[in-house]
Order: sequence, then C-alpha cells, then structure tokens
Amino acid sequence: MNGGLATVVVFAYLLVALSLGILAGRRGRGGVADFVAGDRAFGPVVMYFVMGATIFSAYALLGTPQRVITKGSDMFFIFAFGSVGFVPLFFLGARIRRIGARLDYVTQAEFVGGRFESRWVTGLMAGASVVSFLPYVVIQMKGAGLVLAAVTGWPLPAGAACVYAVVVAYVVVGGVRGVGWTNVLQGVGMLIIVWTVGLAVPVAYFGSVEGLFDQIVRDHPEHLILPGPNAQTSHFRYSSEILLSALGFSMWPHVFMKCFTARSARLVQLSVALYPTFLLFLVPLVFLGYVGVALGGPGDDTALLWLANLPAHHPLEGGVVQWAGEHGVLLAMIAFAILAASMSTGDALLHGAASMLVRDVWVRALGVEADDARQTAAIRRWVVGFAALSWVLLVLANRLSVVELLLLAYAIPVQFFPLVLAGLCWRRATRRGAEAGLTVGLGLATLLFVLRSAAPGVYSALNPAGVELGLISVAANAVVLVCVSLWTRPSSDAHLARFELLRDR
Amino acid sequence: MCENLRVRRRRWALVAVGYFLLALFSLIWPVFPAVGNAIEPRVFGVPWSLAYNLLVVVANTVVLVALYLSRSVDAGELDDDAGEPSPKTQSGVNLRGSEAS
Repeated sequence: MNGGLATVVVFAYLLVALSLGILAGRRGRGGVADFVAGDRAFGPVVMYFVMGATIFSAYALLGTPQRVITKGSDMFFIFAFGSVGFVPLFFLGARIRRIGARLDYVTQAEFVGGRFESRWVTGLMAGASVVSFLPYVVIQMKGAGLVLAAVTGWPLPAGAACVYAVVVAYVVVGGVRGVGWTNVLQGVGMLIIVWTVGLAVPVAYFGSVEGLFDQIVRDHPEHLILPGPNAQTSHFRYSSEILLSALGFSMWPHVFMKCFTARSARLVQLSVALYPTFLLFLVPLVFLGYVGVALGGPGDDTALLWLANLPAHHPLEGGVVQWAGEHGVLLAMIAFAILAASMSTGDALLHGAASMLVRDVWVRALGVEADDARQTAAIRRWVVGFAALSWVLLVLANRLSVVELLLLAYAIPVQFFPLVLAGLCWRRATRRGAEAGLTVGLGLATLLFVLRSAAPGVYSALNPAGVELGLISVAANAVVLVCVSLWTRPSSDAHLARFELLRDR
Repeated sequence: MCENLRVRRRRWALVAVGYFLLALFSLIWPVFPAVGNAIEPRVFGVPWSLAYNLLVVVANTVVLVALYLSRSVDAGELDDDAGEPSPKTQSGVNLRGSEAS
C-alpha cells in the first residue's frame, strides 16, 4: 500500500485530536463534576456527537463489512436494535438528568445504588461495568493497531500503544470535555468519509448501488436474507441478538452517564430523538461489505483495509477511485475513519471506567472519604491504569474476533435494565430485590459463559435454540427482582420522593 | 398545566410506548421472517430485507421527533419544580439519599 499520505494524515489527526482534547479541558472549572459530567453543560452539537460517536466504534467500522462478508444480512441486526435501543432514555432520560442534578450523581452505578440505598448494587454494577468495558476497549485498541500496522508497518500492539497514548493524554487533561469535543471532530470526519467512500466505491465498480445488488442477487443471494451463507443465523438467534442488544443499548454505563452531561433534560430527549440518524452512517459500510462479498474480500477484521487497497488488486480503467487508490488517498481516508471510530469510543470507555472505579467502587461502595481534588486525581490515574490493562489484554488476546468479543460484553450491561426500569417506575422495587436480581443475573451470565467456553456440548444441549446467554440471564434477573421485592420492605416515602416516585409529572 | 392536557399527553406517551414495542416486534421472529426477510421488492436498488429495517429506523425517528416537539413525554427541568440543588460535601458525596448498607 502507498502509506506515505496515510501516515501524514494519521499523525496529523492524532496531533489535532490531542490539541483539541487538551484545549477543551482548559475551559472547565475542575473538580469531579466537571471532569466526569462537564458540569452538566454540554450543548446540542456536542451531545449529538457524544451520543453517536461514542457508540459507533471500531466495531462498526471494522465489524460491519466483516460481518456482511461472513454472515450476510445478519448484519442488519444493528439497524434493528439501534432503532429502538435508545428509546428507554427518551422516556426516562429527562428524569435521570433531573435526579442526577438534584442528588449530585454523575455515574450510572451511584444513581441506581442510590435509588436502592445499596452499596452492594453500586459496587457490583461498577465492577461488572469495568469488566464489560475491557473487551470493548480491547476492540478499539485493536482497530487502532490495525490502522497503524497498515499505514506504517508497525506491529499491532505498538500502533495501538501510540494511538492510545494520545487518547489517555487528552482524557487525563481534558476529562469529559476532552472526550466531547474530540467526539465532534471524530464524528464529523467519520460521517463525511464513510458516505464518500461507501458510495464512490460501489459506483466505480458496479455503476451504481443497484448494480452492486444486482450482482449480489445473481451470485450470492444467500447473503441478502436469513439464514445467510451456510445457514449460520437462524431467525431465533437473530431475534435474540436484537432483543439482547436493544435492552442493553442504553444501559452501557458510558452512554447512560451522558444523561448527566446534558445542559438540560430537553436536550437529553433531543439527542435521543436524533440518534437514529447515526444509524444511517452504517448504510455505506453495509454497501462496502457487499462489495467485499462480490469481489472476494476477507472475512476478518482487515476487510475494510482490504477495501482501501481495492484498486491495486481489482484495478479500474481510470476514474477517481482508481486515482485515490494509487495515490494513497483511499487508504488515508479509511485510516482516518477507523482511528476516529476507535478513539471516539475508546476515550469514553476509559473515562467512564475510571470514573466508576473511583466514584462507585472507591468512594460509594468502600466508603472512602475523598475530596474533589483527590477523587479527580484518582480518576486520572485510573484512566492510565485501565488503558495499560486493556493494552496487556490486547497483546494476550489478539486472536479473538472483534464482533464476538462485543456480543459477549453486551451480556453485562443488559443486567442493569431491570434495575433501572424498576427503580424509576415501580415504587415496590426494593433494595433486597435489586441486590438479588442483579447478583443472579450477573452470576448466571458468568456461569453460562464459562460453560459455553469450557463445555460447549453441554451448553448446546441446555440451550438448543441458541438464545443469547445475556437474554437468559436478564430474564432470571427480572423474575428474581420482582419476586424478592414483593416479599421485602420498600424504601420510605421520603426516599421514593427524591426519585420522583411519589410525584405526578 | 391543566389536567386535560396532562391526561392527553400521558395518553400519547402510552400510545408511543405501544408503538415502539410494535416496532421492536416487527423486527424479530415471527413478524420479520414473514414480512421483512425477502430480497424483493427492491427499494432504490437495495434489497427489501435492508430497506425494511431502514424504514423502521426512519419511522422511529419521525415518531421520536414528533414526541419531542409535542412535549408528550416528561421533559421537565430541575428548576421546573420546587426542588433546590443538592448540598455537596467536599468529598462529593451528596447529603441526601444515604445508602443504608
């Protein structure tokens, strides 16, 4: 590949992101509320990109074309769950933001633990969240490493370390403001590049998007409907993937926490209402996946980078795409987009994980007394520590697929859904019910995961329909929460009133 | 806010919840296999299986924007009620909502 231009673009982008993230942080007043929630002052533009860019990650850029090539229309599940996954925050987000501002909550775990008056819930949620973040951060680092490897020839871990040194720097200095403003830059860049490349390449090779799908219908029709190539995805499995992802989507702690950063409750709703527009950004990625199907692309994480080099192994007779491929422009654009996707999610995850470890585990669950300055300093140290731990896992777990890692990670935050819903909508939900439900849900998810890994035959016999283990666990969680709540004493009216459960709004 | 308006808005919010549940069910078994899992008809060249999902995305966006503009779902601000900002300790632990365990 002609990596000269791409190398310049990549390092220039890293420098710009670093500068922007650091400068954004200088606008803050300091303190935990500023570092974690931006003093609850984010405006509509920043909120839009924070919500969207945070979620559209290296998984979306690298995983979408890969999954289209290997599993065909199974990839459409991302549109399905994305179209409904944020809806709970539309209905509950304003209240979450209000209660958070009133009671000084800046993380999901302290919010839910506060509702149920339980340090166990706070600590368990935070600990589980941090565990679920690990594969997610590894995915982002892997994406960054793949880009640097393609552009500079560096080993994947070295490239990942270089990119995430920049991310750590602007998160440590800028806090959530650094995350927010770099997300704007990254989101705008991703949108422009993905739409440009995602339309230009199919048009160049097939005359139009319709021409692309004409060829797919003729040569690979199994990639357009379920159960897909080699019948890998039954309707039941597809449906359970959607249900699991839809229930857990808004429960990811770093997403949920953004309710606390918005300038107003109305803005939370506006951000949610406009979020589905970010789904449209995946459409050109799907087109690129089908280009890979038609032209024999690889079914692994390098699919998008293979597309960057398409003019070299499938040359055209002139045209803009051929020129862009020969002069490294295509590679530079795709490298930028992947880095932007990786960093826009990775920074939020590092920031969220460190915030939870300090606020939820150290201060709330363990009861350590720490002033604002001490908490902020600890969060900064944990940003560095968490990034280092994730990098070590990247080195050790390099063989794992991007998409499979993320589907596993979803089994954890979905366990928070019954607690959030019951906590905000059911006065009868009790502390013991929440503690029991959460413990059972997370315990069962862990047990099923270990069983699936250690004894897949036994797991398949117990779960012949292939229902997602997260879905099984959250169902058990909800049943236990309800049953134990009905048998135990609810919180006082005074406490319920703080969470607006005795008010008529 | 007059009571009739509050009741009407609550009714629309419940209708909206019902709509989104239907939207979710339209994307999974048994509805999606029966209605959405097909190549034809093609919509602007893309297969029906993809177009169907995108139509649901667009429809949900429209409904969400309509709900936002109509203020049918709770969007009250902190200052709308009589509540005051919570007092903070230096450690950032709020003085309200103590945790019992």
